[in-house]
Amino acid sequence: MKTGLRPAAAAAATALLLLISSGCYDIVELDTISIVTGVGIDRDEKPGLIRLTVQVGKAETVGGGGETGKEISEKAYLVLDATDRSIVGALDSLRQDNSRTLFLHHNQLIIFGESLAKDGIADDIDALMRYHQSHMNVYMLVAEGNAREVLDTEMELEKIPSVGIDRMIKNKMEISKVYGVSLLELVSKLIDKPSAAAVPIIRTIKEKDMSRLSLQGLAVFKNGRMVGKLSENQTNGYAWMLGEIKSGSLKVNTSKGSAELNIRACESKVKAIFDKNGMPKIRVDINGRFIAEQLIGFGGQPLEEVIGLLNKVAADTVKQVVLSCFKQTQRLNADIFGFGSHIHKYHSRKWKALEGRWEQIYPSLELALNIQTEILGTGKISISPKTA
Amino acid sequence: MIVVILLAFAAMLVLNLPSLIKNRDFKLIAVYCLFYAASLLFSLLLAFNVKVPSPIIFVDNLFRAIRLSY
Amino acid sequence: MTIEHSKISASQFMFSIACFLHSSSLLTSFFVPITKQDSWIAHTIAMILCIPLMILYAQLAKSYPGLNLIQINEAVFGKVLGKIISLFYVWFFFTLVSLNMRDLGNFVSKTIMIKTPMPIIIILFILLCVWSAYYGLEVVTRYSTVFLIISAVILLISIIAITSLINPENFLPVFDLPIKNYIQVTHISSTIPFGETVIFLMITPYVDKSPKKLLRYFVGGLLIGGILILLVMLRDIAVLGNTIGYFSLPSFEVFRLGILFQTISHMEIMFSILLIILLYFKISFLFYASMLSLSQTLELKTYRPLLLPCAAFVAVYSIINYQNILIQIKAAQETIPFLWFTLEILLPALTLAVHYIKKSAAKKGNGKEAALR
Repeated sequence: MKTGLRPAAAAAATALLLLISSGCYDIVELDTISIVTGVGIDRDEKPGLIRLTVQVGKAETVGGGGETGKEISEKAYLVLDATDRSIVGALDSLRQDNSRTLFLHHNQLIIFGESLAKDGIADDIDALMRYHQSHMNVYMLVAEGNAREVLDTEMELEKIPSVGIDRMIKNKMEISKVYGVSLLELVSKLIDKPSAAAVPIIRTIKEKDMSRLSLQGLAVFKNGRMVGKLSENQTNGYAWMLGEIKSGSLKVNTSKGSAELNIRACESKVKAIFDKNGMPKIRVDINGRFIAEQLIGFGGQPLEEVIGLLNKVAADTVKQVVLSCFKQTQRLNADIFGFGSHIHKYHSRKWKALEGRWEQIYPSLELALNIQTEILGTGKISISPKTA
Repeated sequence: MIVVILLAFAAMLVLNLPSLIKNRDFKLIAVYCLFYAASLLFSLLLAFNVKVPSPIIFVDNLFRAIRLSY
Repeated sequence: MTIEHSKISASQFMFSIACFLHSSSLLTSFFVPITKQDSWIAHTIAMILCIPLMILYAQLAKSYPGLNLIQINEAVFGKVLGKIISLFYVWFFFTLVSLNMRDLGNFVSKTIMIKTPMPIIIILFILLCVWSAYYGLEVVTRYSTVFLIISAVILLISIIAITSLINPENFLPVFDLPIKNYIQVTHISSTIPFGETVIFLMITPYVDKSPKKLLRYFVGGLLIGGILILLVMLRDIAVLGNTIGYFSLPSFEVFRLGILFQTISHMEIMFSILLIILLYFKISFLFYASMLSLSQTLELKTYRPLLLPCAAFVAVYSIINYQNILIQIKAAQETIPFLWFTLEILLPALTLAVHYIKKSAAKKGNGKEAALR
């Protein structure tokens, strides 16, 4: 190349490179997208159709600083919905009727309506996993009633309800991790054999002229369909069995008095024992440690006796809670604890014989619970102050 | 699309041809023309959406025919 | 007669092999759906089985010091047969370039730039590879160490980011699947990342260490690259568990899930950048080696004028090869292991065998002559 031409060619090449490497084709500007923070899927009145609700956060109202008074009345979120045969179709129609494209990368929740959950969520899970913009760590919830109602409920302390629900979930996860079920966990449990999962339930409670949201209980899924519910108490039993309780309190009633125990730690170990016919029996060792938060009515009893009594009664209380949950799952015939999965993982050869019959085995599965409790302390004081 | 392809191939020629002719290495020029013609042909065929048979699928079918596959 | 005049150091050689192998960690999606949680076992077995393969390559390089693969073929098989076999290799190397380009195009267009047409991504990339191949071997392999260190750091960061999501039970049940799956995946794993190192026989003459000592660099590169892929696989299985067989890009999903210090999340762009860097190294090296082999087979003085038309050819070839990714995955799982086996293992082994036969025939001939005198 001639010497004069070289710098010119280099300059031209650099200019071209600069133009090309900015990736103009796929440009996404912040004011052309609507950021979706929550997705709700309900069954529509017309058969075969679903109603997709998205909660879109308005970036301007949340971010704007300094001014007070004017923005309180303006909602920081918007709820849009569309009806179609599938999630992707509904997302498409939402895109077409809007001035902005939907941006689902920051979605926090996916809420299934109760009637849709009872019909089966496997098809929707397929669409959700395939969709490029969905992330596997969104929290899954089942709404008691309609998902749209839940997404439309304003929260007092949070500008965007989905963010508020996300924080609520994280709050409840401080008590026990079973309240946070991500899409990845749900799929992993649904594709397992036997297929069973438990998803938290969220409901809207209407009080006087306001409504608030509450997370209570779990929805039990079997083979992709919701078959029943677990109450708040039974949810605690579920958490105890899995060893997933991190804090919270346990009410203990004895003949001599009652107490509130604060749960400090919990471990559980599952073991499958086989008898000579190859039938399994599950043994679970649960170890709980507590601190007494309130002692009611123990009179003038020495502390060691009180602690000893509380230990024993705490173990019985935990046992009752766990058994109540276990019996409910046996009624629903849904192995949400993963006992079948445990046998598959640790005794895979024996599982091959049991796999086909697990449906019949589970409702009459024997469970041997061995609960050890330990009361680590009694808080800042040791004996109750005598007031009378 | 076709205009872009033709422009790119013309640019290639402009860049390389002077030095090729100066060296007078006929084998090199022959190989150059071979690859140039082949890539020009196939890229135009692709631009016109003509289905080009793929050599590796041919070998793939060959191996399946002699049952050397999983 | 050598076309290439620069020399690289032996450690550059070793890190080039390691970087080359590590960039294939994207290709785990080829065999993970078959063995799911046990993929790491099959991969480790493949890595150990390929150590004799490295011994084979090092022995071939030792028997003909100063000659690269194409020249070795001619020396062993004679001019005509040697050229025919070399043409097979040339086709193989060009196909490798185009398949890897296609992988890159697929990856970029599926994850980062969804609307950009794939030919544009491929053309921009190949121009960059042309640029580095223009300057020769030293430039192509110069950054191997740096790229490897960067990828090791990002791998470490990702492992820290997902520690809360690891569930050791995800590795169970072990050995639950039919034996055929394990054999298939060991076969795929030993041919698709590990066997492609036959291309390094093209540059063994240009390493500034005597070929007798090359074995340890071959094996070192294999082990470093293989262990890095193993770490990637272990991380993916620990997080995704039984869902790993469903995803087409498991590492991408794992990066999406990772969260660092509660603020840095959605790190998939780091994975994309890393992968583009590693694939750039692999493709530019493959392109350079295929240009070198082409010009060596045709006995040209230099490959530089051929760079642009061959780049255009490779770009078009990569779009023609597999029109859609499902066929590519199916072929990679079923027939490619056998095809690659003949080119990567059978042919070099045959070459070495013929070399030994010739050597012993020559010794016998010498012995007879000595006896006759």
